[in-house]
Amino acid sequence: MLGKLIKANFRKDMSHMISFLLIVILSSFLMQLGLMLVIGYNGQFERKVKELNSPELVVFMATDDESEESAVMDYITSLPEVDYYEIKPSVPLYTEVLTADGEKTDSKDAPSNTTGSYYYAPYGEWGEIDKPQFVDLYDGPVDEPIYMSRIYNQELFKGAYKAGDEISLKVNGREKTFTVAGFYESVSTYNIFFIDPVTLSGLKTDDVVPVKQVLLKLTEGTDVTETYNEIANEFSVRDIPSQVISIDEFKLLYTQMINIVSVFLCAFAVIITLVVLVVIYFRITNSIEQNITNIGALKALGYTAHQIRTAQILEFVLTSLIGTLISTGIVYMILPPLEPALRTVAYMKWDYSFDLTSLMVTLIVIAGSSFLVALKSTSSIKKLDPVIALRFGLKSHSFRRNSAPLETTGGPLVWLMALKSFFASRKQNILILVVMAAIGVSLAVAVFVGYNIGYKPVNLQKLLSDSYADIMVSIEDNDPVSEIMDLPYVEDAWWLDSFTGSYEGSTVQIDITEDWSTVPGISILEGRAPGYDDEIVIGTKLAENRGIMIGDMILIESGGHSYEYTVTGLSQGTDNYGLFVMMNEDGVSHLNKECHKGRVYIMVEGSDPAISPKVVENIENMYGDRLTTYLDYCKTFADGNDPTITLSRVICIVLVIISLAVIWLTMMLLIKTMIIKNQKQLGIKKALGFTSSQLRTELSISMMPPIVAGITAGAIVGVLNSNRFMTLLLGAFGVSRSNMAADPWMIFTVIIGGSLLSYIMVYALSRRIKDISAYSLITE
Amino acid sequence: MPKKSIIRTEKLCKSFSSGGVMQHVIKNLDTEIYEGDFTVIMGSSGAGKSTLLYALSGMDKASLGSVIFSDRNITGFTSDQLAIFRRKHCGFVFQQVYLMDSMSVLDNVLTAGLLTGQNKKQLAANAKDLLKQVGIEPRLWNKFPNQLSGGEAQRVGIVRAIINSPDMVFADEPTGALNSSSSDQVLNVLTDVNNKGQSILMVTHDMKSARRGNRIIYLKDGTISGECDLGPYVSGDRARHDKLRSFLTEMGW
Repeated sequence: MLGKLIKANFRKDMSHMISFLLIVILSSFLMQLGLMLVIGYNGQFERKVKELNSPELVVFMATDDESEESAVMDYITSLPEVDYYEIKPSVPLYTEVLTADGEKTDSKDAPSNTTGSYYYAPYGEWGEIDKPQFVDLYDGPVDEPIYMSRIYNQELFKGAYKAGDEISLKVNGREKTFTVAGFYESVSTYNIFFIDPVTLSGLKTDDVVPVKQVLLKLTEGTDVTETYNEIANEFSVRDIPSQVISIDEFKLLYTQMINIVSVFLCAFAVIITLVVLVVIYFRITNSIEQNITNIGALKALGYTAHQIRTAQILEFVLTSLIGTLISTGIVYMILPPLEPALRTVAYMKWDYSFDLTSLMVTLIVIAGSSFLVALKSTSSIKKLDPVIALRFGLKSHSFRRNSAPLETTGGPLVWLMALKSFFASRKQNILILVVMAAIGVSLAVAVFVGYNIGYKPVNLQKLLSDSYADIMVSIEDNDPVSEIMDLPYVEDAWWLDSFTGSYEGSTVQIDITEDWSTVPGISILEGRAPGYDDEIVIGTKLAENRGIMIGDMILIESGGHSYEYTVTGLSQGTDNYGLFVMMNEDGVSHLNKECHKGRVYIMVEGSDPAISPKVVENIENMYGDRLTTYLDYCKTFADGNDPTITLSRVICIVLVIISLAVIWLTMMLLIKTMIIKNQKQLGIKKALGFTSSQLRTELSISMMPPIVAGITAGAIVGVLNSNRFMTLLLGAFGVSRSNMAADPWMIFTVIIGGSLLSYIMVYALSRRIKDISAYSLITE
Repeated sequence: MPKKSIIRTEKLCKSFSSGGVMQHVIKNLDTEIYEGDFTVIMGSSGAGKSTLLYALSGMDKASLGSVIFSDRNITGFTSDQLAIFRRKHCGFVFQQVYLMDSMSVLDNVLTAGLLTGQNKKQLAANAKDLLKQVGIEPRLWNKFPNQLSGGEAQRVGIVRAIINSPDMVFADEPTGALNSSSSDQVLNVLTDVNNKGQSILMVTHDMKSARRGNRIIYLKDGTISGECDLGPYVSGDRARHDKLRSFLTEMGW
């Protein structure tokens, strides 16, 4: 009996249920994909760590003093937390990518900053910790093999190389043509080109200081952060150039972007689920109103309220279940092309398989919430008396007030009629308001992300760094700033050096320049730049973690020296995950440090991406091989050659498309319901002489107040909270307070754009009105 | 003086397709409806009375032939052209009244008037005057249709139909859903309106209603099988009543 009822309901509501199904598919697709990505990639990283026996800590050290090296290694091995370790030597060699005719180039679409110092290591010399896992090996004969990590192929060459391809390099001044013999995956040693040991010794010269990578496996249960600080301090005290990286930082490198994408997907899935629930409520309550006599008849025939309700509830719950299952199929269909695309931001291959957890969570959230809302929406059936239902129906309207009386209200007739329709549809207005508010939020975030990252990536750069510039160059020359300043198109230039220090046992990065107050791109959130030798600015993350405020005096230690500085300001950046301090050159003298001034940051005239390559070219011409590396942020951002920018643009486009799809599907469902509900009124109006276009305009205008109000509310909430959202997303990177542009124009853009598009959609969807003839009203 | 024709049909046909079978409801019908007349279309059930009414009024399109309405061939009009045409030239009174239930009595009338671009002040005064004339008191003007009796609602419907002084008021069984007392009130209103010069074309199967007309057209199987000229309505005119009765008997009613 119940089956027949459900079947009848489905048959009757078929077109509505198709629209509803599409919205469910959209929301469950986003939710499931988001969950799968976050579970999949984090799980993949953990598996990789286990599979490759990856180290908990990695220390990069560059010293040619053997006694110093052995002393520090003695110290490390004496630590009870260290279970065992391995040392992997590698050689940093200055490298340029060449064309076939030996010219320096951006071959294989290599970004312009490919030139620089890269690590080379002999193929075959590795131990048990983080042993490279080779994939895609070339099976043909190879004279000069070179093996690179998947990450490098992606980061440096945009994934252009395949196994068997030739690559011409100028390594340490010598031209060489290698064959890409294969790729490898490794958690911590992804930054090495493996080549034949004989070839490597031929390329190495005596002046090159090898870099040693110390891979540490810690005993189980060890606090990695504590050991990290201990070892970093030891290297700092001994003044050995080094960098300590923990497994958590590697995890962040591999999974953070995926986590961000997942948060976006899940957030929008939640928004659309909200729309789904509102639609269920609207649809069920409307259906009860429209079919009240049928319900009364069913009750009279002996159906219980429970049976009638169950049939209504199951209609939506079953559709939600079907939608979720269809979306599961779609997710697994798009994974094969999506997974390789995600390697650009995840740097590892994801061996995905069926994920029951994400499916179950999606089912519970979507089908479960659909069930609860459907249960609530059908509660009126319980109290319905069959006689009253059959004789009087449900009093859905009690028009007590004649809103906008035509005699006294001014304006064109269609507008007045629209106003009347608006006042007569309270429940529908609330539904539209809620849906459009959700859409407003998603459009606001899309505009915010699109502007700050997609269109003006410098805003993101400002957020992620304590200072930003158009170009960074690294030159083997002490203090080239004055020469660079004299170059054409250069507006400003300053050097920047960094040391490792500590504050109360925590490793901090010390950033030094001559005078921070003159740096144009300095990012000070609160307070001011250091002006005297005893003043510093600290990262907001450090301030938050340690409860430090402006005006506090803090003791900074480095290389066995310490000094108490006054905190004059807070800066935000992701260097060392927000744990950094900034001081002037005269301040660092208290720590007995001498600065190397070869890393120079440059601002070009008008931050023009057409000019910045000219500046780089001039610097290359001036310094030749002494220019070890450069980064042209200005051009990279303008070209969109950055995975973060590309990703943000994709997110932005996806958000807009999803928002428009939700508007379309919701409005389709809503308008169909409204036309059916108001068929009689529309027929009367047609008989009186209203044209179809007048009625469509009336309907569209009548829906505009809740649309505009909803979008406005959503846009305001969205834009005002976008920075909070970004803080949440980038918190793990060290961002404690996102302060990207969230301007009123964004709110207005969303309101105007969203409302206009909604109007066009509503008008287009109301086309069905054309099919209603006055005659069908008479003959119905 | 010969009567002026408002509507003229030439070989008017109207067919419907139902389950793949064509049903010819109106067949090659030629007729004229005159200015100032209270024309009544009668016929047995399924004879095509309402179909003819709606084809003549431009509410429905003819399948073949043509309808010349106020010297315009409306047969080829698009739906929107017909809607615009109906505003000025037609008024409708339906059996189910079809007032807009979300609008007050006065607004229901004003909506039709405002569609023709009439001056709002004059229109409102006119509407109130007409409502008073049909016995709808001011206390009802701001009520909603569901707060009116059937007879009251139908009288409002008549005011809505005549507010634009159309060339023709089309009334489809206007008393079909009313009790006897309400029916009389509605018929009196229609008679009064006609006496003031308003042309009316009414479909009915009720002899009491038909008696109000001055010309009766009898429809059978989609063609006119007979016509009867009753002359102006006079209350209690027995001879007129008998004439109609014998005509209908002759037609096989």
